[in-house]
Amino acid sequence: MADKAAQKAAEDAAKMAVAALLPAIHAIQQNPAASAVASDLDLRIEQAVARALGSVSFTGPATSSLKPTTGPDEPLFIPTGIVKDTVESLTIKSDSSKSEDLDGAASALKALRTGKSKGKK
Amino acid sequence: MSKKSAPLGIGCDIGTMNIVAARRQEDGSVETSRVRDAFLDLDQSAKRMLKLSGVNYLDQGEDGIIVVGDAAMEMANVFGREARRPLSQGLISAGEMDALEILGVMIKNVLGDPATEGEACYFSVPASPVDADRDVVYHKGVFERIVTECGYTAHAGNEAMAIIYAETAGDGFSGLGISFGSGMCNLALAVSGVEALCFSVARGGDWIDAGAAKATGSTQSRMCAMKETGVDLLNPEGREQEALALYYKALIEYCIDQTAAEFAKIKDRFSLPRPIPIVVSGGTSMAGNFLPFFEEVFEKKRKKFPVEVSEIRHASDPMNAVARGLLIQAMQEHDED
Repeated sequence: MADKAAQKAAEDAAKMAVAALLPAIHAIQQNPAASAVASDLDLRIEQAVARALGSVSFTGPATSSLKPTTGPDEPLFIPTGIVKDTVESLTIKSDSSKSEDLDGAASALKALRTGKSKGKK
Repeated sequence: MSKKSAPLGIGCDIGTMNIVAARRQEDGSVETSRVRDAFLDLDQSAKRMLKLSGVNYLDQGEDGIIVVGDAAMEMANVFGREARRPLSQGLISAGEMDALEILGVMIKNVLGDPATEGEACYFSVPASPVDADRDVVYHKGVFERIVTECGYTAHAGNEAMAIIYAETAGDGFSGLGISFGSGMCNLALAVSGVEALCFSVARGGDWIDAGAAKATGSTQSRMCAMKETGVDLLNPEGREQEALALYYKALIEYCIDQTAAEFAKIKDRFSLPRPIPIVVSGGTSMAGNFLPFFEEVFEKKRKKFPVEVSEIRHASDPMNAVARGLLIQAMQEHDED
């Protein structure tokens, strides 16, 4: 039902645009050297299409079955399902190293943060 | 029963050139996994050759095949093509939508499965560049989604602050950390673990390659290869190496000047009780004699530099320092449970 209405509205808009442009097209055909008419043809097409589309009113169904896949706080243009369930194995370079420095840093950071949170209390 | 289980948490450094994950193992060591952040799309006709070469690829059916990682760089040379890089100047661009799936495959491979449901993963995010009209919002959102879809609880961590956490415990987590990356340089000034200043500049190793290539009439990939196979910045040989050294100098000067300019904006709100170290890290800092070269450039600017510097040193593991700093933060998430 909605598809038919949309199709009819589009057809009507196209007819209106063609009707508005016909005089200009005839003028160019009769006198191709008339550059003044030709130079503003782009503008005329733009205006005619804008007028025709502006006269079309189309209201979609009140309720939509489409649901946003992301929450309101997230940008909508990041797709979901980027990581597939089955992912091909790649050749990964792995290396192993000692972790004394890392352990020391982790302990020191923990102590620093604990001290700060105690200080706040 | 007596076997000690590995601490939970994982760090993931997502760079323009490499993606590196760091995780603690049961034996107490730290394992790092790395994949080159590049891919190459080829026709199905290349499949046979790749099979013979033992190169892994992703079969996309009618859309051809995709070689990922280090092999993409190697195959790009074989086929006379440029490998594609999902990130540009440190950030993913909204126009690289078709690279997202490849990034998903790469990150899933370096992270592996979480050890427990919702294990914490800190991933690196650059600071907004001070010299380019780009922000990190989209970049952060994309990787938050990818890491979450890999089964982890995603936490974004600043790239340069990760260097502070990994390398300045002995200085009370005070210092200036500089990550010399491929797409950009990230800088963070911290005092007692508190972030005082964080920014990035949209210049890095790629900028050096492009500038030196243009100056000598060479190609960017040749400059990159020359840089990676070894260039001695204090003793450059030939005009190409001299051009590289010249651009290295310009980049270091630029970072020092930008730090001074950014620090001037906050100096009234901050006091530094004692001199702090500068810790340099990142793939671009792996060039031969980078540290003495940096010191040489810095010494000429020291008098005008607004922060008193105690020493300049290289990160203990420059290629993995960011991932290790992120791992430290991820482990803290489980410590607090």
